[in-house]
Amino acid sequence: MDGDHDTRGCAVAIGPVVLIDSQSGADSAATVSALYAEHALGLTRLALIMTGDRHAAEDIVQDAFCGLHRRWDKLRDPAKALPYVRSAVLNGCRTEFRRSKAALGPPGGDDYEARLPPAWSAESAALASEERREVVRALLKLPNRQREALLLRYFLELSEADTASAMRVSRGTAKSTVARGLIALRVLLGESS
Amino acid sequence: MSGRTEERLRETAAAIGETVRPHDIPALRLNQSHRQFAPSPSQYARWRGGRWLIPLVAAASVAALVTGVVVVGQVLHIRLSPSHQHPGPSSAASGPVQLPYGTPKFMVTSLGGRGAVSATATGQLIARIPPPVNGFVIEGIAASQGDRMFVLAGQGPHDAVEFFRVLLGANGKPGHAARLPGPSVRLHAPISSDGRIFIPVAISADGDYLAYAISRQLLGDAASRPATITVVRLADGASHTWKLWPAGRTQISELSWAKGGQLSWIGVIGDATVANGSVARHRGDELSVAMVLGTALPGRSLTVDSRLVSYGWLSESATGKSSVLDGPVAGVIARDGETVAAQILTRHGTRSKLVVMSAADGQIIRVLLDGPRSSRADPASIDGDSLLFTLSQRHVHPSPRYVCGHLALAKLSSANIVPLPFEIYCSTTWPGLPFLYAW
Repeated sequence: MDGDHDTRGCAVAIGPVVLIDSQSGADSAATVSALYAEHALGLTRLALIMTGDRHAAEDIVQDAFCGLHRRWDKLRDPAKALPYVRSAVLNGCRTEFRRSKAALGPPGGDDYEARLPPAWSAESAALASEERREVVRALLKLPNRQREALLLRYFLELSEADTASAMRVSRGTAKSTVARGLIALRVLLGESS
Repeated sequence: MSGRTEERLRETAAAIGETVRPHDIPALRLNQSHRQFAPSPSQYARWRGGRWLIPLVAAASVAALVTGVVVVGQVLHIRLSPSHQHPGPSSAASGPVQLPYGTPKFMVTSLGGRGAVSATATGQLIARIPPPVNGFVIEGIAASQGDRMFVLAGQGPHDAVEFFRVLLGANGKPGHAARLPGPSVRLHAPISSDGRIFIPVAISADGDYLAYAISRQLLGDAASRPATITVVRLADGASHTWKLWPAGRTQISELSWAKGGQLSWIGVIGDATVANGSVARHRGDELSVAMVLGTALPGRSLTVDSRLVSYGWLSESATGKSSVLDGPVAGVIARDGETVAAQILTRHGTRSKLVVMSAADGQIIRVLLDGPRSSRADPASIDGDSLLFTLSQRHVHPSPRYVCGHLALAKLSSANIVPLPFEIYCSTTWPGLPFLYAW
């Protein structure tokens, strides 16, 4: 990870997780595997919605858990493991989204729809209805943070606190981001307040 | 706040999300985790000609292509010590990689135009290759079958492209480099490259024939000269050249030999289209091709005398700021001439696959890699069943200094893929020294 340079003996803050040198977590693989069994499905679905690409989504989630496993013996509070993984998934999605967005070009281009990743495209069975496609198009127009906040809140059904933790922002920021995202989405969908 | 909006959001997200079913989730593979980024005081780049078309990096702009800036698109960085050292073994490698039977033991690499021999299994530097002549900069490497004979291509001190043969001993130590015969390849506008120019070069399995291509990077974008592929018989220096019409946007990026004098080439042809299964001139279009030239037959035309294996189109992205490509990007032909191992892009360059395709008609026979890890799966060299290529990490890291992947081995017969202990770094922001490799 960029930035987590070795500072032996010092605590190193990486997002919501505070890492310290320690030898704890002897059976980290089993613990991480159990966490994966419980949360991989939801996180993969989240990543799919955010990236539109099934392969990328699976890889992002795999990487997030592998990263957790790598850092397990530096994890001071095992309760922070899940927020850490969520953050890592969001990071991965941002990167993938940036990449696919660069390839897509701006919305409204001639063949923009044809270039959409599989899960966002009109060919997707999940988006058979125009109503759903409208929502996807609107989501893609939202700023990243707002899109993330909305999906964490209304797809993963996280609390404000957990949403904030995953996004590495304060609870107030998460709350206002969700609110602004909803307003923007409503406008984009042409719904009355 | 609208409850209706929330409901539509929930319903749509759930519909997409539920296409992933519980049994679809792959098992967690902790032993395949990323290598941890070990901070290094400096990183240096690697660039290979075949990579400049990859549109996943926004820098693959048409403008950059036109100017011939060699860092277009994608620049791979390899982590090194600060003094321009050749890559050592990967920091994450706990020991030698268990190489399948028949894998070449040695790899010849070039970093910033300077050559070295490394052990494939460990990544350890075996020996540096001194410049054959003062001022020689390596801009292309080719290997013949059997782990022993390599050819270095590059610009020497006299504004000409020169070729040298290097034989390795049983322990991998390089012998004295010998200049190869052939016509003088003088450049009208020689470019000081530090190895950033890539000269496609290939040597036949028996070491008797050398092939090299001269195109856009060396000719510039002036359309007054044709791109060429030249084959030299090394016994006496006799040569034969195939030409492709003057087209400033034509770039030949990779060559490889198969039996019977078949020479595979990968490239982008400016002002071209496909008509009746053949490449035809058509102003304005740009075609990406994998073709096989029959060098045993007489002829002078690169397109007429080559068989079209696979093709796609280079076009502007929706923004008009970058180029996107569907079609073959890189590839090498198997020695028997039956198949081509190639990276192909689809869906306007957003999807990548590493495939084995029929050399006869381009039909995909086997998919070796599909998905994010194939985004930089760039076949570079083949020895028998062993394909050398770049393997992406599972996803791109957000940092401008990040591990992009490694060199990797694929056994074509079994599709077995083995990451090799040669880390590669990618960056869209800082082109470092170019890195070439062959086995």
